[in-house]
Amino acid sequence: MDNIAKVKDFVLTFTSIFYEALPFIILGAVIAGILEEMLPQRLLTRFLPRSRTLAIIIGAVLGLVFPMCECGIIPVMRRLIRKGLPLSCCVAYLLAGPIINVVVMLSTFVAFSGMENAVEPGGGLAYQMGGWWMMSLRIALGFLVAVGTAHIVEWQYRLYGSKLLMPLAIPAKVDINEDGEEAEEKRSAWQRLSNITDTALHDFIDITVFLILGALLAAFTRQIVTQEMIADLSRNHAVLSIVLMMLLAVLLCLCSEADAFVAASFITLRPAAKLAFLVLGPMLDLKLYMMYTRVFRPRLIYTIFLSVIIQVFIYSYVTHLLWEHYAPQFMVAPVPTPGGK
Amino acid sequence: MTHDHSHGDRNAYYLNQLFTIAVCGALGGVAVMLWWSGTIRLMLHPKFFLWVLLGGIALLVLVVLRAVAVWRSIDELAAVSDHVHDHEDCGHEHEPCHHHAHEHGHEHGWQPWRYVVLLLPVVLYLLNLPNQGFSADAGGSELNRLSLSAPESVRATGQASVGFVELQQASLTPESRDYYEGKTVTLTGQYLAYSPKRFTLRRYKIACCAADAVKLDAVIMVDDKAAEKVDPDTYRDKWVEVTGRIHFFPKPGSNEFITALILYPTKDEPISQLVKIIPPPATPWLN
Repeated sequence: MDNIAKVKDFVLTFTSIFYEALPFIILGAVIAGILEEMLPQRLLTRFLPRSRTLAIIIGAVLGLVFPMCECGIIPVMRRLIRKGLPLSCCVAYLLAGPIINVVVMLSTFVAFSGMENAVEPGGGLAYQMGGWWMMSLRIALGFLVAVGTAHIVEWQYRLYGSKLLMPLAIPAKVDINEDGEEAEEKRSAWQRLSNITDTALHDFIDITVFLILGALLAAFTRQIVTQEMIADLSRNHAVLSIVLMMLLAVLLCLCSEADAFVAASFITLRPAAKLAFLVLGPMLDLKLYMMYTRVFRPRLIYTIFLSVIIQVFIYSYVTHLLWEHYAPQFMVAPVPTPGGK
Repeated sequence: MTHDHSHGDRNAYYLNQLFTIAVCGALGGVAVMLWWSGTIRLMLHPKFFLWVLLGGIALLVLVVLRAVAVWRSIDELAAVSDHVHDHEDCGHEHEPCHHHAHEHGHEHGWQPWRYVVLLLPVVLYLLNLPNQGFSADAGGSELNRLSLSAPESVRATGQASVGFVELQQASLTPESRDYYEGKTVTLTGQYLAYSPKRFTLRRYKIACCAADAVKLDAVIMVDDKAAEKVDPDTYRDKWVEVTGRIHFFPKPGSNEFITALILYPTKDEPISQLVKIIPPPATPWLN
C-alpha cells in the first residue's frame, strides 16, 4: 500500500469522524447558548430531589427524555454545571446519556438481532447474545457504571469543590436582590439573541478545536491498529479479549449509534468482550478525552476514566462468567430459513 | 457582575470575534458545499446528509447574527467613547460596551493556534480531499493471509440475485450455506491482488461514517483446470464486477466460514467477461 493511499485513507477517516459529529456539536452549542442566556441561575436545582442518589439516577436516565450524542452533550453539560446543576448528576448524564437513549437502544438491538443463531462449524450453537440480550445488558451496565462513577465524583466534589472544574464550567455566582430573590438584568430581545450567538459560537469553537485534535489522533491510530489485529489477539482468551476490546473502543472513537454494528462484525468474539466495547466506547475515547479537557481538570478526568475502566472490566468479566455458565442451559438452537429469507 | 473589556484587551476581543466569524462561516460554508457537491457521500451514511446540511445552515445563521451584533457593538462603542470624552471632566465612567454588561462565562483571550486547527477541514475541502473511498488494501486482508486450495468442482445449482451483505450473512448458518452453494451470482467490489489465480473482492459496510466501516471480503478463485489467469496489474485497485459460483470454505483455525466465488472461464465467457472493470460507484459504501 503506497503512502499516498495511506494519507488519503487517513484523511477520509478524520473527515468522516469530524463531519459526523459536527451537526451535533452545533446543536449542543446552540442549546448551550440558550441555556446560558435564558435559564435562570439555580432554577434546575429547585426541581432536583433532595436525595443525591436519586438525583444521580435521574441524571443517568435523562437521555430517554433528552437524547444527545456523546459529542453534543459536552457543551450542554458545561452550561448546566454553570447553572448550578450538581456535577455528579451532570456526569451521570454525560456517561449514560449516549447509551440510555432510544436511538442507541434500537441500533444495538438491530445490530445483534439474529446473532443468537450463530453456530460453530460442527453445527452447535455459538452462544452469542442476540438483540434483546445485548441491548438490555448494555443499558444495565451503562447505568451501573454511570451511577457508580457519579457517586465517586460527588465524593470528590465534596473534597475539592470547584477546583475539579475548568474556569468556564465553574458555577456562576448568583446576585440576590433586596427581596432575597435572584436578581436578573433586563435585556432586550436583540441583546439576548446577540448573547446566545456569542455563547454558541464561543462554545462551538472551544469544543470543535478539541474534536479535531481527537479525530486526528483517532485517524492516526486506526492506521496502525486494525480490527483484525485485536480479533486475532483476543480470540481464545476471555480476559484479554475484554481488555483489548476496551482498548479498541478508546482508539476507534465511534459514535454510540454506530458502534454496535462494528461490535457485531466480530462474529466469533466472546459476547462479554463486545459488551465491554459497547459500554466503554460512549464514555471514554480519544476525542472525548480531548473535549473533556475543556470542562474538567485533569484530577477529575482521571478519576472518571479510572472509575469507568475498572467498572466496565469487572462488570464485563462477571457477565462473561455468568453467560458461559448459564447460556447453554437456556439457549436452544433454532432452525433458520435458507439465506435468511 | 460586569463583563467589560478594558481598552487593553478590547482589540484582542474584536480580533477574536472576527476570526470566530470567519472560521465558523468557512466551516458552515464547507458543510453546505459538501452536501451540495455530493462529496459527503464519500464520508457518511445517507441518514446524516440532512444533518450536515442543517448544521452548516445553522452555523451560517449564527455567523450572520454574530456579525451584525459585533458591527452594532462597534457603533455603540464609538458613541460611548465620544460620550466618555465629553465627560472627561465629570469624573465618572460608562460601560464600554452595553452588550457585554453581563457575565456569560467566556474566555476572549487571543489564541490564534485554535483557528489554525479549525481551518484544517476547510483546507482539506479546498484540496478536494477526501476524493475517494478507502483504498482497496486499507488495513490489509485477513483472507490474503490464508492458504486455500480451489475446490475440485462446484456444482452449478442455478442463478441467484444476492448482494455482498446477504452473501456474508449466508455464511453464518449451515442451512443458508447449503442453499447458496453453487449458485451463480454477480458481485461488485474493489480488486485486491493475491495471485494470478486468486484475488480478494472487497466492499465496506458503514452504519454512520467511514470510521465505522466494516470490511466485507470475498475470496475469488479461478478454476484450477482453466488455463486463463487474472492479470493483477490490469485490475490492481480497480472496481470490478465478478461473476462466479458461490462456495463456502471453512476458515482454518476458526469456527467461521469464508465466502468465495469460483470462476469457470469458457470460450464464450473468458476471464475478461467474468471479471469486468467498472467505474467506481458514487457511493462506495454498502449500508
